Amino acid sequence: MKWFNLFSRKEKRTAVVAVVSAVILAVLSGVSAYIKGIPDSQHLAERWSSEGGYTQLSVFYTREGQPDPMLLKNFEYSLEEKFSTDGITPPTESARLWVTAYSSFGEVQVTSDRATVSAAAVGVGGDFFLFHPFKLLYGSYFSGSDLMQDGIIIDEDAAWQLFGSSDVAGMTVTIGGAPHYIAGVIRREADRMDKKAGADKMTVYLSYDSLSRYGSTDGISCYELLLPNPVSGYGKQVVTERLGISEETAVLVENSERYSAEALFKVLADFGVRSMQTVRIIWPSWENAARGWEDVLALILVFQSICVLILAVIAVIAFWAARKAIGVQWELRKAKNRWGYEETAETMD
Amino acid sequence: MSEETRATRGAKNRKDWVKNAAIIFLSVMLVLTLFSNTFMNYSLPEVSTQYVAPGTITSKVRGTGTISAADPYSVVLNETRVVASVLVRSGDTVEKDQVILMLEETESEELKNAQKQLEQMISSYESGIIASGIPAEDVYAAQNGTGGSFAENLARLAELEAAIETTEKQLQEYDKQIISLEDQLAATGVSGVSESESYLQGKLNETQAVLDTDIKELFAAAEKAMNEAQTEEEKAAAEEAKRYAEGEKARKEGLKAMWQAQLQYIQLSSQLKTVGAGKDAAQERLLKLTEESTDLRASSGNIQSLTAQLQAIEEQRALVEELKAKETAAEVKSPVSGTVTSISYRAGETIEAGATVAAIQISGKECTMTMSVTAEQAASLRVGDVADIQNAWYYSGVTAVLTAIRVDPSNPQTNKLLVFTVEGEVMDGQSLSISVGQKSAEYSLTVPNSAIREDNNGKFILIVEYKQSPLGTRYVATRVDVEVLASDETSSAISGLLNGYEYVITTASKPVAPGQLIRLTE
Repeated sequence: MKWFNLFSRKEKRTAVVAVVSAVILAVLSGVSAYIKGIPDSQHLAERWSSEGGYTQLSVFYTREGQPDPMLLKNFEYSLEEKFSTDGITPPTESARLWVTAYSSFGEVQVTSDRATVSAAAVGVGGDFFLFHPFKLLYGSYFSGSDLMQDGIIIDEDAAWQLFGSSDVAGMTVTIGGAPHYIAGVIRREADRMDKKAGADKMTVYLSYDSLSRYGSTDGISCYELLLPNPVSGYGKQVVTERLGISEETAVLVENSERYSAEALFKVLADFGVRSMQTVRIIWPSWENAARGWEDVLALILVFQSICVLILAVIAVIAFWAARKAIGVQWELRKAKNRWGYEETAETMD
Repeated sequence: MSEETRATRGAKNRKDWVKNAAIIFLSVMLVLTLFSNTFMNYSLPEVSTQYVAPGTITSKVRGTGTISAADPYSVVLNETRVVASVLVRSGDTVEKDQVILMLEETESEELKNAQKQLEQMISSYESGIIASGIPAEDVYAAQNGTGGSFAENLARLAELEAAIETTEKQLQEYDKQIISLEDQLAATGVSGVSESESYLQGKLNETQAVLDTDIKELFAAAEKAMNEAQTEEEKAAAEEAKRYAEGEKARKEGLKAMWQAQLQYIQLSSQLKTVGAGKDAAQERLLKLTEESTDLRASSGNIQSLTAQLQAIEEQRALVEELKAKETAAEVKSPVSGTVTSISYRAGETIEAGATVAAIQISGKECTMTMSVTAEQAASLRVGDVADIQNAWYYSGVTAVLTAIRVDPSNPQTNKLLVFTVEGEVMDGQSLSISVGQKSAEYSLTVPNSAIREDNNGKFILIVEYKQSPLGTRYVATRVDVEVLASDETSSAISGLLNGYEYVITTASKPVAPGQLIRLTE
């Protein structure tokens, strides 16, 4: 290990710093990558197509701007025409080019033979569960394209209270006097971010139709879309143009891009004003969680940037020093050559 | 220490170090190798699987509708009575003639009132007779019905009036005659005659005779004398004789006129008397006729009013009798057998006459139920489908069959109305939750719904393929593109490149990508 002693203390220290920075950078990148993968609700585009070419978007509405399901249907009809005009076709005959879902929030009372449970409710339409792939323990999801819209998804706690067991898919409950059946039982998300985000409450997922009829709700407050994105920003543009996002009553979020470095730098730029809410929107729990992770990732990005900066600085210094050293060596060799100096093993030491 | 020893020890240390390192390394490798399966397994997603199997897809349309019974029978009470006790409740089954209500044993209000009215009518009739002084014969005529009919009386009155008119005309004639006679009497200038007519007639005749004979002779003599007169004296005597004759004629004529006038007077007087008598008779007749007419009017009027009163009294009597006869016994019986759908009175309450006491759904009669569904839901149903009743154990023997699919008038564009015929023990207004739908034909490939996944290449399932490797059986998730032919709440029928009986992944502990190694649930 004698060559180790060739370097000066300063150089050793620099090297240690470089190595440590690199290690920290690697760790942070790993952590960041891991965190980005945590919220399932933000990654439909990746699940949908591993090659890319799709983007996931969400529109959140204030009380005043809540859309009618018919308005959303009209928008969806216009998408067919838009995509065929732009020459975008699905890869196979039966594949879908775009997927949408809408949700509204409220409360509902679910009654079984042995108990009644009052729970927060999400009234959904479209393929909500494609966007939110909860962990299904029993049963299956329902969709807006099903023939009957009287299925509900409950979590284990609700299943336990209503029936005493989790394996209750297919059993009947009553909501507002009308019979509904349990389509599936899911596991509730439970990490700290989700708890804080409000995803920890007992929630019942039922059709928007049922919630507006038998429970209490304001109206549609979230509309999620998966659209083809042949070039960056295409999907966002389609939504802004065709659906119309009014600044006072709606907020558009591009979920697939929110964890890119660019977006995270934007989050950093909004430091200080990020907690301010000028539009009266209450984010759904998944959006809250995603935003929480954004903050964490932004912080990680800060440290990553610092590490990168340190490494860059060290690299520059090392390069320059090396250049200098090489220059000296070169001169030395030239001098040796000129003077006909023979290199021996000893001189090499 | 010598140089050599240090060098040797250094070498020895290095060898030890290398040996230790080698041992550690090899043992780690051994452990890893021995437990490699376990380690790898822990990192693999755990999946639960199901067979792809043949099956049927039963997509049911579920909903709740309200039953409307066809024509429940209403039990109506015709009098105002007070309820003593109610013997059945809404929902009870009753047989024909089963007592459903007990009424208090009082006379009905209507009967009491009718009787009171009857008494009033009788007393007013009687006091009316006495007060208004209607002749008793009219009363008897009215009571016995001998008053003669209206038509007869009217005819008689008409006759009387005609007679009265004629008599009045006659009277007028008489008056006229009397006036002319009186004028004539006045014109005679005679105020009174005491001799008889025959005497006067004799006198007249005498005078006339004298006029005809004596006077004529005188005139003839005078004429002769006039003609024979030759002298003045003779002429004067002749003239004197003529004058005497004329005087005599005049005298005699005067007498004649007097006798004539007197005669006329007598004749006129007697004529006047006759006419006067005639007029009196006519007047008497008129009076009688008028009296009779007035009497007839009055009596027929009386008789009429009395008859009317009597008739009214008779009717009232009949009504009282009727009410007495109809007076409901103290029990209200059910006229049909069936189920009581509503009974709205309690003990002590008063039921008004004509109010519906109870409504009974005649058993065995069909009820219908309507339900509004979307057009797609209606499209999956056929007329004749039998519906399953939810909580079927609760309702015994209730069947519902789809009999019609109609346009829903409240949502004509989007909804349809399903009409079911319901038989069994159900009641009007009851709501029933049913599910209806046909079992489909058998499909050769069905999977649970949670097995169907989707991405930009369409829908697919993940089947478990296994391959043998030196380290044991490895399971790989393989993607198979499928098309969903039909689906219901639990499973879907699919078509794809499958043989049937493959294991399809339903749920996994971690997301599974096609081609990824997986492990099966123990």
